[in-house]
Amino acid sequence: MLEIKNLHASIDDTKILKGLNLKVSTGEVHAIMGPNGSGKSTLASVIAGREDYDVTEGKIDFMNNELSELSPDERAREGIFLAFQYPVEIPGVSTTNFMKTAVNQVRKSKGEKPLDAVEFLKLMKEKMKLVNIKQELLSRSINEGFSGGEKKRNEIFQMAMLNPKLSILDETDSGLDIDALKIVSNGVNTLRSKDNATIVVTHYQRLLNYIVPDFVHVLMDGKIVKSGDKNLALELEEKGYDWIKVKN
Amino acid sequence: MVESLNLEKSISRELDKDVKLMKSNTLKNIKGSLKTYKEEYKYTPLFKKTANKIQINDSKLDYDIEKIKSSIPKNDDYKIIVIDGLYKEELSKIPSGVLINKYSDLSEDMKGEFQKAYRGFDDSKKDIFSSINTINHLECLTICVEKDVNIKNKISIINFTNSTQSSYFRKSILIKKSSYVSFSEEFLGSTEEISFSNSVSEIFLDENSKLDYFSCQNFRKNFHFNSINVFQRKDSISNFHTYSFSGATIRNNLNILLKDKNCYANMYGFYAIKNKSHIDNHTTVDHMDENSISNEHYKGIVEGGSRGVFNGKIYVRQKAQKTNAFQSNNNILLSDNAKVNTKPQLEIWADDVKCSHGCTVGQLDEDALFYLMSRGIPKKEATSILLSAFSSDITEKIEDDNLRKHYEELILSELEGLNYE
Amino acid sequence: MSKDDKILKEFTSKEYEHGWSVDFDVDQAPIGLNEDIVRLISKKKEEPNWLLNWRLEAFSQFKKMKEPDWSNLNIPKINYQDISYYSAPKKKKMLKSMDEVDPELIKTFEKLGISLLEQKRLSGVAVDAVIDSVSIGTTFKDKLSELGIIFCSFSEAVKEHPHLVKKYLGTVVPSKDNYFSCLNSAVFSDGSFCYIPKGVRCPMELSTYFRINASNTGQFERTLIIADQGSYVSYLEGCTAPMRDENQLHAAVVEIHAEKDAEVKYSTVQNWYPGDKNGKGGIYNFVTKRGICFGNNSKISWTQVETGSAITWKYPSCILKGDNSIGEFYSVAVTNNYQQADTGTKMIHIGKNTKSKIISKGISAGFSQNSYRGHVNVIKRAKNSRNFSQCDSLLLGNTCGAHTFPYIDIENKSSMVEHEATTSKIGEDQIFYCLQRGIDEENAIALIVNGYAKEVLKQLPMEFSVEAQKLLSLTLEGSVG
Repeated sequence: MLEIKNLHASIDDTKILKGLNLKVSTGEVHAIMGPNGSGKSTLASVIAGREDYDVTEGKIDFMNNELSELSPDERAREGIFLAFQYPVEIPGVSTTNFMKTAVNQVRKSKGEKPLDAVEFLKLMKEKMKLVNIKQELLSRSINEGFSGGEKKRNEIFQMAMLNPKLSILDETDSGLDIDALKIVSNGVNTLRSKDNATIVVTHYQRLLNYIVPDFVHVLMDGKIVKSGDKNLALELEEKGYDWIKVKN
Repeated sequence: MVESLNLEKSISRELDKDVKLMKSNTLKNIKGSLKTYKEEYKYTPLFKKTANKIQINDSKLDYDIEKIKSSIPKNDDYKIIVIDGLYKEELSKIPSGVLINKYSDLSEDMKGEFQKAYRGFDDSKKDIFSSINTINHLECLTICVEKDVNIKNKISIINFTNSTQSSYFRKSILIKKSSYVSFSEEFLGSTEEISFSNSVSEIFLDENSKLDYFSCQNFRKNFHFNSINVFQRKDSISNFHTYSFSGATIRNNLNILLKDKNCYANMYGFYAIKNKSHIDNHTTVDHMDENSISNEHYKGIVEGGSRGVFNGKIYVRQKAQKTNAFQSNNNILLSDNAKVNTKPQLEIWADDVKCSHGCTVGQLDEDALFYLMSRGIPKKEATSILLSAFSSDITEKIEDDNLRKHYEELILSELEGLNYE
Repeated sequence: MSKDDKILKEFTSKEYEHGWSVDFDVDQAPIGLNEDIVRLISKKKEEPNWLLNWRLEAFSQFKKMKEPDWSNLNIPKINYQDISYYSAPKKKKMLKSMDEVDPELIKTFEKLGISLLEQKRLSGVAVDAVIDSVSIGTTFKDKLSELGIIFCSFSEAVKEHPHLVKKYLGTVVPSKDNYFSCLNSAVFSDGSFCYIPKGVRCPMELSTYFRINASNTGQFERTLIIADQGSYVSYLEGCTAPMRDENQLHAAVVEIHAEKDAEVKYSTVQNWYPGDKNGKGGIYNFVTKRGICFGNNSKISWTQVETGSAITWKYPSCILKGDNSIGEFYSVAVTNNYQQADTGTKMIHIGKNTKSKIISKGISAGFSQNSYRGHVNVIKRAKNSRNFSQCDSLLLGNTCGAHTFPYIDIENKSSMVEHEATTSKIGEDQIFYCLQRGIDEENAIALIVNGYAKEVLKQLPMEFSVEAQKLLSLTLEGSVG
């Protein structure tokens, strides 16, 4: 589904990714771990197409398309979803209105008919249950005055609404208490299927107890330095990142 | 108004050829500054009885030098003494690294350096009172702070207005690269008669320099016009602290031009006025280039039949992306005969900026007052405590402990003189 | 919701939607401005002498006045002698009912989305349609008159209710108030009149739709709304004009009088032709709108969405004379290309315990200049008064300007005034967030802008709110990127 080859990316002339390789197939969950500043969030942003980053070398294939030619909204319509580490506030725009616009634009790009109010409401009600989010919250301005947990739940709710092929969860666990973490993970697990894939970017092993990955990669200094299965995460938790540094 | 001032006379007595040219050019353009007078002086019109005083004196100025000497603080602080616009070297004390001269005594080279600072920056030309100052002032004092000089102790500038007619003060300050200096300027009125004083200061901050500037106005009966025009080069910092108290009609213009990138300007003001006093603060900050910050906060307490006017303009030019500009004006009205006119104004031509302004006019917090009184504090003292708390946002910006105490005491004694209804 | 969506979908490559004109037989006064023209207009309207004299007095005053020059606008010289001051679709005889209206005219209004045929009206909105300078018909008249509500054209009111017109005309906006109100007083040709009797809550929205059709004409209409004790009315005003290369002048006057306990809500969606991308053509919109909260506990609320006009000069104001009266002003002003707007409000607090609220949202794009100008005045006897003002500006691109000129004058110690203003741009983060959800850039901006203006848009009646959102998007189309 996703194949990243020798990816180099920089921001304001500072090199962050320095030759990263990653292959993700449908049905898989990949965890990307690494210390602060290793380039985890940059990787998420680059896949989503954030323009602040310059891709200087390498390429990203998604569903056999070269992504570099696509704008962020085109990538989203191709099925890439980014759950933001810091979800953005947009005053005056309700999540409902926001999602309706997004869902119908995605449908339009696929040549499908837009949902009418009744169909949309039905879809929304169904997905709301998944992350235990209240209607009242969705009628408020997106993320404005939301607690940390509410913001992250709202991200997963949007993911459910848009039904992406590839979901990238950028530090979705940061700032969550254990109950919120369970709700969010439960949502993600329910959405897992053999047709989609998930990349979980995280700093802590804790999340991986709830979203169990097929593969774990350690990202350090802009490169994946070690890959393994879920036990690698446990090992990391125990020994710390220095363990890998020493080994290398 | 202007026709009756007989400004040609002031020009004809000027000896310096260049200065004479500057004066006559200003006179030619004075009609232009009249255009803005109506809006800019909407709340502070010049009344006839003061207008009559604008003309400069023909007779030689007389004053009691002993009396003046006695009111100069007896300490070792650096000080610059000016009487009715004339610099008194024998009474002054200047640190090394600072050169003080009359403009007419400067070498040709130095005149060249002061050219810009003397003639004024764009805005000063548009203002009617600055124009009159340009034409009528007798002597321009030049202060040059040399390169890489760091003067820790403040320099006091004490201006005496002695004339019963008008006094004109004019100075140009040049702060060279990477220097720091702090001025504390005072105006002392010695007459019981209404007179007119008009002061214009042009300040030039070169790259990476820093200036602290305190001005305090405490007149009895005076129409005082004060204009400070500032021009900042890159990485320079200016901090202005303006304190005005009762007893006069005071108009302050503070115009700051942030010409280059990465300039920083702070403007803090406080006024406490009573009786028939009138205080009008007009400020302008003009952001010309990227990444500069301006921060402005004026607070005032207006009592009796007095009037407090605030007009703050922020300009952010097209080139000045990533500007941060903040402005606020808070007023407390203590009487139904007092008035506040405030106009915080923003003009923005760049999109990547953060600008905000706010102003409030209101009263003391009744709940807080009640709380204090319920603890046994009499109303008058409780009010005084709350009012000085109101002023503390401004005074706490003064880094120098002694100076801050000085201003806190001034405010306290001013507050004690207020009548709370 | 489905309406919202429709708007976004209609957000295609349309430019100014109402830029067509229709040929019908018109009765137009010769070009020029003089006393004879004033007399001619009055004669055509078969006006009583007192009104003619009122016009003539205004005209003699007008000749002594100068155009205001204090605004932040660059107004090209207007040749007032080069305008026709009266243009009306020709009528063969007095119309007895809507059925007799020229079918061409009915079609014109249908193109605008307004049906003059009552059976076709969807919701309870009564419409007075004014084309060029003349009211061509008012709908739902009978139903309203059952409640004692008078809603008719201004000329009809002069004939049928002269005592009311005479009593209130020029009391809120005196003819010599300013240059343009004075011009209007001399040459106004028609407009709307509305009277809500004591204790009556008007059951439907009253609406005036203005259309400038003829070329070389100015439009000078007057609206007079009187809300008697304890009454309520919500009034809507919409405007469009054809695309023409020359600039056309629109100088209207709106007066509102609210008695004790009365409430008037006045909403405007102003969509006059703004000129083309290069600033050619467009309407000069110089309008004086003012309401007086005359009685205690009365309330006047202005809501405006300003997207059109080449130049806008407009300050809907409230004089809060009655004790406990309330004035409100909600505004969204959008300027794009070479448009200029200088708009805002005045809140004059005279009565005790009076309250006012100002919410102004400016959006500038292209090469436009957008200014907010406001005046809050609390006089000495207006004890315990309150004002809150919030003025925000949004800039799209760095070739436009946003300006804020608030004047705040307070003269007593028991009142509280708060003013806040901010200037910002649309956050890159916000746009990226929308893009990441699959929303394209134009829709993302429309979404964010409508969110920014929400506080004002929600004040509008539903139908108008939808139209306003659509207009915001259309006006800003292509301004980003």
